[in-house]
Amino acid sequence: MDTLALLAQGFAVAVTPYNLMWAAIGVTLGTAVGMLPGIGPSTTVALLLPVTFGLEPSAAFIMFGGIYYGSQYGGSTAAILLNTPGEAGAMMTAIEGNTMARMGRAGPALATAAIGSFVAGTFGTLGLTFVAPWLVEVALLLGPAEYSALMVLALTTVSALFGASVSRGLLSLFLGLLLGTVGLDPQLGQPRFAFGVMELLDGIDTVIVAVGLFAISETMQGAARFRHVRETIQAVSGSLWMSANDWARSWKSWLRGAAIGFPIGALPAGGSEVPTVLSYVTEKRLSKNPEEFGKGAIEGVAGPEAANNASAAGALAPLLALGLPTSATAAMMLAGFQQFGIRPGPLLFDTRPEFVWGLIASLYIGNVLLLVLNLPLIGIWVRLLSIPRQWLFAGILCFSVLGAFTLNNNTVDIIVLLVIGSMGFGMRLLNVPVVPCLLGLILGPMFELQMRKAMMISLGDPLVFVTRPISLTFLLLAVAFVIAPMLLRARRAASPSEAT
Amino acid sequence: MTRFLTRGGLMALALLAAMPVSAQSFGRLEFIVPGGPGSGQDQAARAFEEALRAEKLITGGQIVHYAGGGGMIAVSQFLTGKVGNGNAVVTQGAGHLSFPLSNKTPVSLNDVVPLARIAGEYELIVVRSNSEFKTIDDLIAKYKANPSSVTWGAGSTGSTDHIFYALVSKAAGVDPKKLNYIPHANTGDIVAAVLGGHVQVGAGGYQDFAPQIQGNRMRVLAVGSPERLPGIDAPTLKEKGLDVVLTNWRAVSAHPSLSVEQLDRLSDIFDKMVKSPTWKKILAEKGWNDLYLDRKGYLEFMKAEQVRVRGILQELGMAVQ
Repeated sequence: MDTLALLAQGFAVAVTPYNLMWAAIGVTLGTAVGMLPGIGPSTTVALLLPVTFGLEPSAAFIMFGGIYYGSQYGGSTAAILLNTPGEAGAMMTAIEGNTMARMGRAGPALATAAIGSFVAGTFGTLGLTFVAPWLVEVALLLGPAEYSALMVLALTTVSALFGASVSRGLLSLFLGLLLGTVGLDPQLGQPRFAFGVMELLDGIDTVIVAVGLFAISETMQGAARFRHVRETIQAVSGSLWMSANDWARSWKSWLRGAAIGFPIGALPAGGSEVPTVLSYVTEKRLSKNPEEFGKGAIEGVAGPEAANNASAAGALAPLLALGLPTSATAAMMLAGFQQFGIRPGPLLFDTRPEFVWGLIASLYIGNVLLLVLNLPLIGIWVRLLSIPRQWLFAGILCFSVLGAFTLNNNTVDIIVLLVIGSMGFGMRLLNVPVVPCLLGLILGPMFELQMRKAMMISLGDPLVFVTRPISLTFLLLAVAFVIAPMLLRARRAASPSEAT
Repeated sequence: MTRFLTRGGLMALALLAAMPVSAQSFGRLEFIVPGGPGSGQDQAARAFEEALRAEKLITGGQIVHYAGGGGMIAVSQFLTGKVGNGNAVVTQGAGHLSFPLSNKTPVSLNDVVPLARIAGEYELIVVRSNSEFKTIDDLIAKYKANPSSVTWGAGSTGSTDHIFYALVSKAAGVDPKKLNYIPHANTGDIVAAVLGGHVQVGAGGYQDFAPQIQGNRMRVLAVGSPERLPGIDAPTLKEKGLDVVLTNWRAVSAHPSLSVEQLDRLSDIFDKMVKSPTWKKILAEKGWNDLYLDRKGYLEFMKAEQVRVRGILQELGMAVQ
């Protein structure tokens, strides 16, 4: 009751016309800047933070909530339309989303992303309202052993993305793991595969690899086949809006995505990559039409997009309850709080309740405004795809290169982008799937870091992974994930009458 | 007519003479920052810019980020892009001094001209509130008896935190190579690892842990400062017989191509800034210590610090030749 009363107070402040105006400005700016190539939510928040200086605290935070959710949504719009994800969380959205866009279904893809973000954002914010302090205590129990087991679980699920050939899938995965070893060794601090290039010391940025493998290689392929294969990109086929079938296929994915995204996002080392990957794979496994994945399955947009937004809400839990900035975006928000002399931490819920609840109320409002403002814009966005193909490809190439440069202001990233793009082109020619490579790059270094940490803490005793209950649970789930499909197949083979 | 011209000329001369001290003459200042938006270096640069602008020492500032490469990417970009530019500085900190000592890099802080060391935080050791270590003596006793039984968590390998632990270990008479050092990617990870009991001790600046300490979830065992710090209820390492003082400092440097006049103009504005009320207010707000050293002082400090840090890195087996 106390919680609800405080939240109501927060809303009372947030819904005045003056504050609503700031929320609307925040959402619009956040979406617009989030759309720009190479600019993900953290950079968007960094760029727009100074805009909130000089406003009174409540207006500033309401605008902030708008920017935060707006930038998430802008990132996924770029991923769907141009295949250029701006931050790791939007990468899984690009896979099915861009395929849908090419088939003339950009409208439904954008709509399911917007509504999915809204649903998951609302559930995430509800989670933040009612379970944040409790959840954070649980999250602290997870140490390096648990995180490495979680990565093992995520890695075993990658097999679902191999496509027709397991050996090609493994090749792609190992290529990604190899790319992930570039940079400073996390334990010894010594360079690996950096060849004396300073820019490689921090490893290869996942966003650059994603844009290289998705956008650049595809553009190359398009150019190579331009005269021979008339692949048409349809701007709109059928309705702009989601059909009844789209709704029926999306709503469960939104809920599952939110359920996966929020708790993992709330973990201090959770991030947005693992929940979006897990959501994509879960959707593929549970879908009645798994063969549609890779060819524009709407569940593949709805789930990861929901998971991404829910994990963004989840990341605020350790920030508010403990003052832990667990992502670059959260670190920027922390800087935003500090301009008003607010230090998030264990005492914040007691000392500044009006702030916490005002912020949470503005997150609800930002979320609603995002939906209201963006759904009508879908009609304008899809026009982008009616640009003639050669111009569109040239535009994507420009945007990708610009985005790669903007990420860290260095030209080495552009070279890496083009090399990875050419590699992706080669993989496409040889029918090697590109997604496992990307996942290897994301999950490999996380697994290495956590596993080596766990082994150092246990003084080299590998039993640490099975003697800790949470770690053991993750590992058993991973085993189940590998064995279950085999058992299912065996059962089907044993009773051929059931097989269809 | 002649008189008029002379008068005009004199006025112009007077204006010229007044220029080095007036803000308008300095104009804008560009900060090359070795870190991304939101990083410690970014926050320091924003604070410098805010104070300089509020005190009208500059008309405005711009912050350009180059993350990565242990800060040396920013230094290298600064060296190639700002030749002869007296309106640009590069910011740096303790980690950028040590990184080139443990990694082969084409450039180092020796390639830029020190302007001023400005502010920073003393390193300190924390544990979670229900830790078995009640005092720093408990910790050191256990570490001496069985070095591998203590897990020391903090920033990346070779970071200022790591060097801090190594100095503590050496002062306690234990080979720093025996440290079971667990590196973390960022402050949030360190705090979570200490609170969750995944590592036994943590290190960093007071501000990294302030909310946890005020919320009674962490305790400070000892501080690496010359004297006790106001508002922190913990002894110095020195009074416990461990002679270790270490700060995570922030500083600015200029391009080596600048003339003495250009360098004077730059160090002048930072000299004025650190004495200003705006800066004192920012220091109090951020919880930073005033560590100001002028051009000469900063250069001497840097030379001495490089010797000390190289020595400890050698003992850790991490120094490059």
